[in-house]
Amino acid sequence: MSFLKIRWAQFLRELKSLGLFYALILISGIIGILWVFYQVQVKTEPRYGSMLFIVAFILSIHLNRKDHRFIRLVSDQPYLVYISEYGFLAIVFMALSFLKSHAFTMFLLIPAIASISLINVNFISNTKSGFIGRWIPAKNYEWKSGVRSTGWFIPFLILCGVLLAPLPFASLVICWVILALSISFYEQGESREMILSFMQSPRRFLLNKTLIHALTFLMGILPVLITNFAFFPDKWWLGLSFILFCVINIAVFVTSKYAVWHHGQQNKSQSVLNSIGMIGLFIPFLLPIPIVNLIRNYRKATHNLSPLLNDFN
Amino acid sequence: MISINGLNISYGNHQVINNLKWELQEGLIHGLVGLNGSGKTTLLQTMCGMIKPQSGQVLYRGEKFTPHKISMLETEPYFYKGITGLEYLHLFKSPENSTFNVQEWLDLFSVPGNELIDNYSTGIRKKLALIGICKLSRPVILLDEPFNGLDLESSRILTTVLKKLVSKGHTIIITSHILESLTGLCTFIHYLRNGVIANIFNAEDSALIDKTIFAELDAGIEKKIDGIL
Repeated sequence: MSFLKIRWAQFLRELKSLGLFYALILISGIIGILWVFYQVQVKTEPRYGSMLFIVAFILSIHLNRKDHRFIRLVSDQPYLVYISEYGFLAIVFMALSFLKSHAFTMFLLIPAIASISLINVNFISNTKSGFIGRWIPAKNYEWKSGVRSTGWFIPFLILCGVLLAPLPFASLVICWVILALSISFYEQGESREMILSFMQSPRRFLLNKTLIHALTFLMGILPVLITNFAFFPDKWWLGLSFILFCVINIAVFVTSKYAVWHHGQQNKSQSVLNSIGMIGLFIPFLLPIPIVNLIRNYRKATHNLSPLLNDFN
Repeated sequence: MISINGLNISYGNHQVINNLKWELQEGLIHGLVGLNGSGKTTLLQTMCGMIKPQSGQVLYRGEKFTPHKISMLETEPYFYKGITGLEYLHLFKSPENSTFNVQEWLDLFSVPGNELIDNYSTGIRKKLALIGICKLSRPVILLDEPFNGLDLESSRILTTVLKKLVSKGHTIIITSHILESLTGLCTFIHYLRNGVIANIFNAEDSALIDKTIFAELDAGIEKKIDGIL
């Protein structure tokens, strides 16, 4: 309970730091998610789909959070902390489902949450495998470092994506989880020397980075996309739209990083907004957010990088 | 020639650099000394573009200093987590016609290139940053406390490397808390006091340098200690 109180205080602090405009967007996003979820429960029968979405959402939170060590330090039973936090998050969804008599499907969430809570992320993070990061280009150090920190989890997700390809949308949801995981790859700021090593103007630098990162991601999920296409060739447009969605979001991640970049500093302020944009895949009215963020961040990023890279114009 | 004209830097009400005028001859090793908080690091960071001054300019051969003409070794170099030393060095492009061999340099400084930087000690991190700077081979090199955290052997190697770089035409500006490490290495030692270069010494005049910099400090310390003991 004391952890939930701390989380609530942290949530209010984050909300305050976002400023009124983005806090309103975040709150409307949360209300929107709940509203869409309720409508889905009322009108359609994709109970497993909505459950899968919530599981994927909680899983990405569990893998992205950086306080695992702290929780292990202060609690003898860290999984109980995780279960209470994720249970609190999921309880609203469960209540909405209960109202619509989809209780059984949503009760499946309980074992799913318990299983996620038992995943030892510290173990995954410490498994520094040189093999996993080796295939990523040196210039894409964000993904090299990020993929290493998640260990074998991303290859495992790719395998799951391939195996679950016969289920409609399942493999795309898994690709979405991988992309959501990558948001944390953009929190670490590099040194000015590393940026200078590109020897490109701010515009070319941002474009080049986006291309390298998008290619890295798409090459990684290629087996999933191909298998998905093999099972659902008539839904080719869905795969293409998903690729476009991913590329736009990667561009948002890159520009958001450099909009606030400062030599060697870590900055997590952009992760919340990037996450809201990512949810747009499931909530159509949030879809324009990445575009708005991209335009806003691009201007800020070019301005922020210009003292360093303007000589390469 | 490196020229600094009318440089002013302040943090709030605290004026760190005060209308600084400074000229440095190229192709030499310049030592920069000053008491704690005198603004040495701020001055170096301004020269390489990390800090924007309130006014004044830094010129190299009469033109504005551009970031790719200067490189800086920070007191605590920053690296990206989760990449290896070799991957870090491969990011940097050495100049055309350069015969720079990464592996030879890693061997020289005993840096394990295939290990993640996260596992490096402070000294090894510093050596890696130095190799990166050597690979970039920019005309002006700023070194902020390069000997901090280095073992005896690496300090000797660094001294030799710096002398070699200067003989190839590089200009080096180096700060250190250990005055002796500068007197044997630099041609001139510049004393930064109250935001201006108060004195420029010939590095051979170590007794004069010692007297000028520490006389006032020693008197103050002695008074304080007399009061305590």
